[in-house]
Amino acid sequence: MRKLKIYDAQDFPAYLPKLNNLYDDLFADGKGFRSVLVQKVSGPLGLSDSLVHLLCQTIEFIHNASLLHDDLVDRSQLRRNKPAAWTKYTPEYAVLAGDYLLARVMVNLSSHGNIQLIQLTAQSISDLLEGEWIQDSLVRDFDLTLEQLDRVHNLKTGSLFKWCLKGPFIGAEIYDKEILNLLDECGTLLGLLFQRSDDLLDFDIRNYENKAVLGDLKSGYLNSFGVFLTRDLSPDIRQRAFKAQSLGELKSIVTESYFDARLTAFDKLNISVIELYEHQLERLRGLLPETARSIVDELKPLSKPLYWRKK
Amino acid sequence: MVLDTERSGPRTFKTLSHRDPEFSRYLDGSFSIEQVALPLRSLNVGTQTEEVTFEILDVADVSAPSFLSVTRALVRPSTLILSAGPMVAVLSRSLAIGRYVHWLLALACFVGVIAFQIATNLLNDYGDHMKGQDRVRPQGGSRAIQRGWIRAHKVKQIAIGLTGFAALCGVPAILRSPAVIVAGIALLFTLEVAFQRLRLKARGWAEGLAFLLAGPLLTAGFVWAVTGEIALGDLTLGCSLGMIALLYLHSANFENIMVDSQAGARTWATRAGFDASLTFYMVVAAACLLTSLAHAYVDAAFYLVAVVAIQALFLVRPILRVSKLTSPLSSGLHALRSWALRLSWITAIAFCVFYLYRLFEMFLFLGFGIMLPRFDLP
Repeated sequence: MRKLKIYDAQDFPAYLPKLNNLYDDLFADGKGFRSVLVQKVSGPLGLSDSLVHLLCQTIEFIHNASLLHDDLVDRSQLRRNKPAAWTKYTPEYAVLAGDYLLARVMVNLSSHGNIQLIQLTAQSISDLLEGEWIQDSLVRDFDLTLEQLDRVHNLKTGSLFKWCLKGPFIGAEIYDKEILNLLDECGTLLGLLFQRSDDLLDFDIRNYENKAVLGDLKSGYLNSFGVFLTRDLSPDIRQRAFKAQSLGELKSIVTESYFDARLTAFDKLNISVIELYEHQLERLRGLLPETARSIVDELKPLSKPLYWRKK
Repeated sequence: MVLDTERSGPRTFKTLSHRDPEFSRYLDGSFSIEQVALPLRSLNVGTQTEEVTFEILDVADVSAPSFLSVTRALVRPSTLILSAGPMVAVLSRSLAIGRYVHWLLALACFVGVIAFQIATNLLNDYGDHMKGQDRVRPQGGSRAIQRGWIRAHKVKQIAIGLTGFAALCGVPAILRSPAVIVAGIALLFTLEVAFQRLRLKARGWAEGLAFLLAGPLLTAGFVWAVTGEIALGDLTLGCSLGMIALLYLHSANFENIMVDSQAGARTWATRAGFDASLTFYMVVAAACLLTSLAHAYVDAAFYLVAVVAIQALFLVRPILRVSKLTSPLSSGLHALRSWALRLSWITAIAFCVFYLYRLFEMFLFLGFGIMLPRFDLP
């Protein structure tokens, strides 16, 4: 899979001060996982290079716009181990730069002219924002259930994964409802796995990227593993756990063995999600035309590295 | 998504669409004796293109609790106060004002109505399961079917049996008085709950019906059947308790405002939106107090004002909690339903205590010439 150059300074007006610098910082070091996903689906569908580029650019622009806004909403100081845009360029510029990316997405897609693709993209952005809004409204709510968080993640994270799988099909003008529904379902499950794996990083589990530990919990947001870890504990231990300032302190409150047992159970739960994802992919294989069936083989191995964070 | 974390080994999934001839048999559990199908994921719920992915399990692999726990989950005894409360309260009132009570009929009606509510709960579970509503609303119903504790078609059979039993209990009352109107409306509503032909629940009628059926219609029908009399006080008492049933249902709908909105269900909560639903909760809570006050006025009983005070004190905490809600997924929404049920208990008991005090007072005066203080309004 070749690494596409998603961002080009020529895409944005040079006369706007700081804008291109901000995007230089933002797009550098991104993994570009979503555009890889788009390419994996686009290849067997035989999409033109320009269309694949448009699709990859679209999803990465939306994703990065959400990061700009997300960091500001969460008051996160760092993004990819560098100062977040709102701290370096002011919050106002961060908001505007995010809005500008979303506007460029619509400009680019409308120039392409596929109204269904525009509709899908607008819906994904709308879901993403809904997810952000609800997630923000749940800060300091420590009695959440995994089911509730899954709903938020389906909007916030799942929406972009769904777009990655459906976008190339709609770009190829394949509008079969059954196929699109299945892709929607696979995107939901992939999003769920990605988010749950991301939530584990906060507890320094498989944290190969050295992301900040306990950031979610300290900022009052109980993520999916936090919910799973604490849901069966006594109210007293829960309250103490929520106030933990370090992972060591948290583990000493809930005990190391309990922490490990919950992690094993959480992994087991997500192995079931992976099995469900593979089941849906096999169904997809049956619906796809012969020439496009290799998409399933491309997508099948994705879930495990996504969850287990293997390269 | 009901994925049991304790289960080990690979899982078996099966996806069926609405068009598949086996779809209904998998949903209602009649497809096999040795296996159960737990619905995990649903697409396009409520449409002809609906698809459900089931996890297929051997019966032995389902970790079901004891028979008693399953029965409790299905019957949902805590909700029975919504129909038992109004009947007991209006019966106490009838005794206090010296009406003749046909006790055998009262017992038959009471048992019949309770059986009817249990049947409604069961049919509600069955209907929601078959229509996919329980997969949209994770907090709704008993969840006994979704967990594989009991098969949906069994639930339907039990519910139909209970409805027949309830109808039998109601026959003497129906023959004696025009309470048949109430019974008829209740029966139609139950059928609608189960089969959702008119989609009343989805169209926002449920709240109004809950108020009427667990409120004035219930007290009026019950008192008419067992005493042959009816008065304004019976209706106002019903309104007071029916308003709590409305508070309960609004709490349930408020709790599910996001999922209902996404599924296109039109409850009062989804129509009003989050902020207005929050206000509406407080309005209904205030209406509970006002209807109780109106009943105190109609019965000219000062003591009943104490019932209003008790209700007001009880409502302080839920109202404070509701006023702080900020999210449609907030965990604070979960407590609202149980608060409404507790309010129903407190109110029904408070009314009964008052009316039984009156009866006791009458008994002492007529039997022994002793006069206890009266707490009537001027």
